[in-house]
Amino acid sequence: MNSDATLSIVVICTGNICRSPMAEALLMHDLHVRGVRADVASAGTLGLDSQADPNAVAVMAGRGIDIWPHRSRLLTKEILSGTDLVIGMAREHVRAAALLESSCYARAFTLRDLVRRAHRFGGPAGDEPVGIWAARLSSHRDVSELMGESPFDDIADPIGMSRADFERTAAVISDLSSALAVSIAAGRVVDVDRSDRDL
Amino acid sequence: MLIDMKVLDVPLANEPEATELDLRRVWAIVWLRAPLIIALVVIAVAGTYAYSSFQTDLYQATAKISVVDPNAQAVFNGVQIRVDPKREVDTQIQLLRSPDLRRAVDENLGGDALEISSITVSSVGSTDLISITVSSPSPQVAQAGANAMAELFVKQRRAQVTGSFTDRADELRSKAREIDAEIAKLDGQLADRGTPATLVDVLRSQRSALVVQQADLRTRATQFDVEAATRSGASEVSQTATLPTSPYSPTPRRDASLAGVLALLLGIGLAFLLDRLDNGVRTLEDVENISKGVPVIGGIPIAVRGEKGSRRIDRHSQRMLVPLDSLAAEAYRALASNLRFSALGAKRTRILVTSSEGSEGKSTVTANLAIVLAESGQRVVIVSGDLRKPTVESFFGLDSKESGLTSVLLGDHTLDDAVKPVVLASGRRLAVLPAGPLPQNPAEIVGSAAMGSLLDRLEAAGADFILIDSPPLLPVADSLALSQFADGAVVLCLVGETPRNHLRETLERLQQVNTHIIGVVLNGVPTKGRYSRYYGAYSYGASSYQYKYSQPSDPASSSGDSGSGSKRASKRGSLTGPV
Repeated sequence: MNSDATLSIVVICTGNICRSPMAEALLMHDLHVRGVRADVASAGTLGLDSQADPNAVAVMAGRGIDIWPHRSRLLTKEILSGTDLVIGMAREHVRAAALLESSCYARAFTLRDLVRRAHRFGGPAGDEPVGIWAARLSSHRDVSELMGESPFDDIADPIGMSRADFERTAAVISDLSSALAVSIAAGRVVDVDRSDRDL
Repeated sequence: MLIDMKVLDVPLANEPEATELDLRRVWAIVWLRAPLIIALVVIAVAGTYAYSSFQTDLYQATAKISVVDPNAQAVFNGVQIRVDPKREVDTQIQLLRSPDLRRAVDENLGGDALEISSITVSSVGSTDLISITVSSPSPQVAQAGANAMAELFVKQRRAQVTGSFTDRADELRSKAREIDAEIAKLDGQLADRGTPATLVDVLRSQRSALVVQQADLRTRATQFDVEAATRSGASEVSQTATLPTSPYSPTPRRDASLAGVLALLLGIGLAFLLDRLDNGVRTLEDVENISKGVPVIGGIPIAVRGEKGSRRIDRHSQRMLVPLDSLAAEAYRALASNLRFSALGAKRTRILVTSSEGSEGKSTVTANLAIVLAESGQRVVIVSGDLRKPTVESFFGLDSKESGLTSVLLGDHTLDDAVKPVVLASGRRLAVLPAGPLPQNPAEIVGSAAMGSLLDRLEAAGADFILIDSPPLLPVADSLALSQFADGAVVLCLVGETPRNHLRETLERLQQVNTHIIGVVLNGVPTKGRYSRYYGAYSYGASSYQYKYSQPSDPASSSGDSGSGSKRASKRGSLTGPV
């Protein structure tokens, strides 16, 4: 496919200080080591202006990723426009994104749900653009599947909790992130040099 | 290969496991009634300990007797028969338990016998020993009792066994005494001068024969005496009781821990029983089990008055417009966001707000939801469809005596006259159509075609959301009649109050008339305490961020719902009535 095209992904959570900064960094890393050129960003529905939570920074540092420079920001229409994938940490974030910019509904998922769907239907086929692939995954979805909250879709907010809770959250996100990266990379012609070196 | 495995791993790990859910349910039942269980255990342990501690001290002394003569053998027709020791021990135990022996012991001890609490006779393991244990508040009595019993029993046994020999000896002696009389008679005849000389010789030989016979009898009697004296009676005291130094009873610790275990089991059983009896909707899982696919789209936190940990519902605050910076407002914003999101899939303009029974908070939720929707820029009309007990208009200082829904439907007023505008402090507006004069036949009126066309006109006027307040669904037909004109229904239930079967029936009835149920809203969700963990994010909302991050970014950059969090701080308590 057009392997030159850089994927544009935005990850959303509530404060943009705990879950989404970790998911942003992990997904960026997981895609890059598989040779997928991607631009991963994050934003929150609350509109805080802050660094990432110290626990999140510490946990990511333990995984060799520095998110110290991260600054939280409010999710806006502009951030959503032109993205290939919108990934919420919980259903509420997918709803918030769809309410801000209804056109992104078809390519917006919770991380857990997206990984499940990618596993069931497979990654992008051949040169299928990721945005089209995402629309295919969500084609038979009812809005009620994204309403309320669900322990099987939502990644619980670790804010105010211990370092160990952040570590657990990071582990969950990391597993999902690498699974998603594998699915996306499987259908793409990857940058062979990169993938050889990093894998 | 490693990576492929991982792809498989993740989705599987996300699948719910039935057993895990069952365990969670069991744990929830126990956890929610933990105070009851703990109280039961504490009462049982403390009560038993106290009761046990106040019991009189009892001392125990044990004497042991051996009952089977190791050489005991019976010879029967020349065949040696080994006595079954087990049988022998059992027999002796029965004999030891006889009331005669007890009487003998009592006589032996005199007045002290009254202090004996109990006597236990039992075999010691598989040996031929029998232990006699006497308990008494007095250690001396216990010891004396045990020893007296052992000794008396052994004596009794010996008397029984030796009895036959002494009896025989006595019999022989009495026969010897009888011979004395005969000898005396012969002596009398011999002393008589008139006795012929020939007879004297006969009498003399008779007499010496009797003397020999008598001597023989006496010898045999003595032999029996010796025999009796050498027989032990096959039982002997093998261990005398020693003076007990410490009481064996009461044992408060042991009793209390036993009572504690029993109370724990009883409490857990009781928790399951109460769970069966408790019909109220208690946890998010309860609702999800009932609603089957209908999502839970909101949880309005409980308004709690009083100190921390109290679960008393503040009935007054629960029925108020909430301050825009409150946890409750956050919950209403989440609910509003769910409603707006549901409208992405299909038209969801006319929303019926209903519940199974009364007093579940329909009007309060309708009013607060309308405000939050209006604050996010939506055009909202509230229609007071409860023509029995109209309340939603009172939140905005309106009454329905003059004009309203009914007067429009009857043609007394125009819709424009009856719909009242409400201006919020932020300058946002919403509209309220009060109920109007109360009719005799509310169900017919709200189910009439005129009602449908009234809603059509409101929608045509550009309303984004028409929130229709309604009477409870189960007791009266109004709500179901109204539902035919609604794009969807929101069903409220009050945590701990709405019976599960009522909620189930409400949902079923709506589905029977093909009303789309947008979702269930839980009212009165606990934010603190034992139950709160069963409501997921509904019980905390975004409060953690409020405490941790006090400086929100510029509210000007926010738009729509997602910006409401940042607006919150600047609009503390900013609701107003109508202008």
